[in-house]
Amino acid sequence: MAETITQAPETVNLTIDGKKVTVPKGTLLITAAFQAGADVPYFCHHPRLKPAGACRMCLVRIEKMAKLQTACTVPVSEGMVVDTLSPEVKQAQQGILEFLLINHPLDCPICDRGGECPLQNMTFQYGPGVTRFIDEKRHFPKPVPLNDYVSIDRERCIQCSRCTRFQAEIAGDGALAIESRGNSAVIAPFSLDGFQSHFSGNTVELCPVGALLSRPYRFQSRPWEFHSTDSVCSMCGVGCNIAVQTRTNQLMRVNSRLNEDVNEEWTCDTGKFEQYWVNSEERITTPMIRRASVLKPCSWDEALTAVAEAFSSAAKSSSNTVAGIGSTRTSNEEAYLFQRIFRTALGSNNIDHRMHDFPIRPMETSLAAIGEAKAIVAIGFDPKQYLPVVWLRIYKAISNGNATYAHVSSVDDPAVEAALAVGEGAILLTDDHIASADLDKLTKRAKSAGAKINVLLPDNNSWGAILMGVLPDRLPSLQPVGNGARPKFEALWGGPVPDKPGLATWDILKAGAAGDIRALYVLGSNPVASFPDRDLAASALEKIPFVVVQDLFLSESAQYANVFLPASSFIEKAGTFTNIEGRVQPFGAAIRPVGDSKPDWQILSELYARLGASAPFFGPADIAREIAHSADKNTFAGDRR
Amino acid sequence: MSLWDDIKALAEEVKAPLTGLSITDSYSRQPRVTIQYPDVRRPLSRRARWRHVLNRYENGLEKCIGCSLCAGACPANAIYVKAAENTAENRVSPGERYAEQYEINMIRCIFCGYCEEACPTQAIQLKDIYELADDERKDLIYTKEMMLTPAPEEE
Repeated sequence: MAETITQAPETVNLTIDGKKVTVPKGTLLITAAFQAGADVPYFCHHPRLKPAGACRMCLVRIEKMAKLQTACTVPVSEGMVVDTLSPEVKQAQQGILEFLLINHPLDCPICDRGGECPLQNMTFQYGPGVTRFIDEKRHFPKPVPLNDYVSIDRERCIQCSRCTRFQAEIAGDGALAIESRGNSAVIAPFSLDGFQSHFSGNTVELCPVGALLSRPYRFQSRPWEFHSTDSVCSMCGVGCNIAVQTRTNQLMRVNSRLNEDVNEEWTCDTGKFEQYWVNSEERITTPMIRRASVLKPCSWDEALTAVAEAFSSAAKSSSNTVAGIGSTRTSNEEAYLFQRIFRTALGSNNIDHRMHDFPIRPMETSLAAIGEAKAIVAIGFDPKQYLPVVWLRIYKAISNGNATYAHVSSVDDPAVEAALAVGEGAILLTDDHIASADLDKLTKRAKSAGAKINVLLPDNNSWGAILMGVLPDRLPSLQPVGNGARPKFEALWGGPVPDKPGLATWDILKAGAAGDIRALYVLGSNPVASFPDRDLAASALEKIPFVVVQDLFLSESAQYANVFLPASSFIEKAGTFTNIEGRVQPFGAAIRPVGDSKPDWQILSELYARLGASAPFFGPADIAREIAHSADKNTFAGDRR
Repeated sequence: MSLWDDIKALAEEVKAPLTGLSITDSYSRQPRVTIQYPDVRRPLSRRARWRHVLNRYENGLEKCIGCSLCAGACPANAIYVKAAENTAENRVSPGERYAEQYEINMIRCIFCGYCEEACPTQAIQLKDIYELADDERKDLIYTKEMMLTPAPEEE
């Protein structure tokens, strides 16, 4: 066995600290050293960035080479003998750290990186302990804001160039550059109007010192003080894996988590910095009921009883007079429970989440496959703006595989033709605003060329709402309401399910404006602001005698609410989101619900009990179990890592 | 049994209490150890570790920089620090950072002095203020205002 491995042509054998290792040809020495169990300290090396050899920390002795070499820049070669432990190497490590610390201020106690700082750790582990430098250190104004999210403390910078390389090689915008040389070298934005990037937050995580800092997180907490919870970003459909870091029941910081299939280890700035609305003082945290045309705080029991009575009396007269508008932002469990309540307790299919009609079509490739494409065209939308982490995959294809890329406004653009000419390996990206006629035309052309089409839905749980059946004509797993799947759900839910498709959002609003709807449940959405015909939405909500709005904030739609139910944000509850690829990803509760607010599933479960549920749901896992029972294996794998 | 015998027996009986009283008497001549607290207070050891004090520099700025190292070192998890940034208009401490809120839960505190040891600016010190009893739990959470030494101009 060992014989065959050593003779395979694409591997290389070398000895590191007396230990023999076999690694693929082209591997960098530092990676091979880690594989051999050697501990080589480093700052500028990063497995996803090209080698730079900027920090000189990873010096090792390679036999037959005149001087110490940087392990992060040397590819392995056959028969190499490497020593990472000799006194010579130790002395070099101490010397490099002494050099790096000459200009580095010792303000670790007030530095946001202190406690999770590679420079601090390496100094403790490899450093000399004392310095011979007694002169005044280099000074710069600090901290200098680079954009709304990131500021720079240039005194702390060790010029490792991780940030500039990230911006150039991964984000593809080269928004940061090293200015000047030698002792006056500083990191500066390339553009005069600041650090213009959708991915600037990643440089804060990459920075091995406290030079690039998050502005919203500045002085909020120390790394050993917060609690980190695995979560999934709620800002767009990509579903980046994030760690939500909280202290004193408040969000402190969002960091990325590794998931090679989704976001690798990156996030966009929206995902990292625009989540602080969960701490907002403007959140409504007590239920409210309208009395004498003013919303007044009330108890949960009062609010839920009023909702249950209004909906059951309306449904008793005719199930067509109740309707529900769901959301693309609630979890799978909540979407499922919402449609189950409408279909069984109220006997109505008048339930939808869409704000406009769009083609329901799963992606034909995975997200990761976009990074391997040969030609990519984004039609009708800018991925960098709307699904930023998809852009990172596109740029990966451009930079690694020399893929062509264009973003165009029409399906008839010559760039589409050029991509289709590539055939296999061409990927067309479009968003939910593409006309179905255009999509059909495109599908035909793509099919004959062997290209793939990905329709990217924008919101974090667009697919969840669809697959959980928050649609007037579909049960969970896209089963039509009229066909043979209905009896299965009737048995599971213990009651009849109407077999006629209900009203879609636009029909609900039209019927509402015409006075045919008596009770409307708005769960987590805001039709008055996001429905294309806002006047119709406003007049419908005004005309409908009983409107329930369940949300975090007093939205435009909540101005028309008879009852307002305060929901909790995604960091206050557990559940699952389904991303644009249909990947079901779990997220955990990081903090307790703020104030008197409750998670959506709990509000729905308590309402369901008042509408006569046979057994209540005690948690999202309860609901997930039922979904896993009823759904296709493909749509809800119950993947709860 | 003669009268003389009676007298001897009586003397024998009186001797024991008198011996005892003489010991009492010898003690009553020794210096007193009881201190009339709270009118009189016993001086404490120079190293006594009681309630914390947050120090200031001579120019009135707080020594505390809100770094939370005391909270990190605290084995009883009794310290809460919330930091904020110094501005030109509101300068509380030298440098960039200061403690906006600083609380110690004296019920939890075990007076080990690790906070003092961890402090990089010698802002926190355990002094000899030992009268900490209270009948309300929440009054035993000491805030920054309660622990700060008075500013020079306020004196």
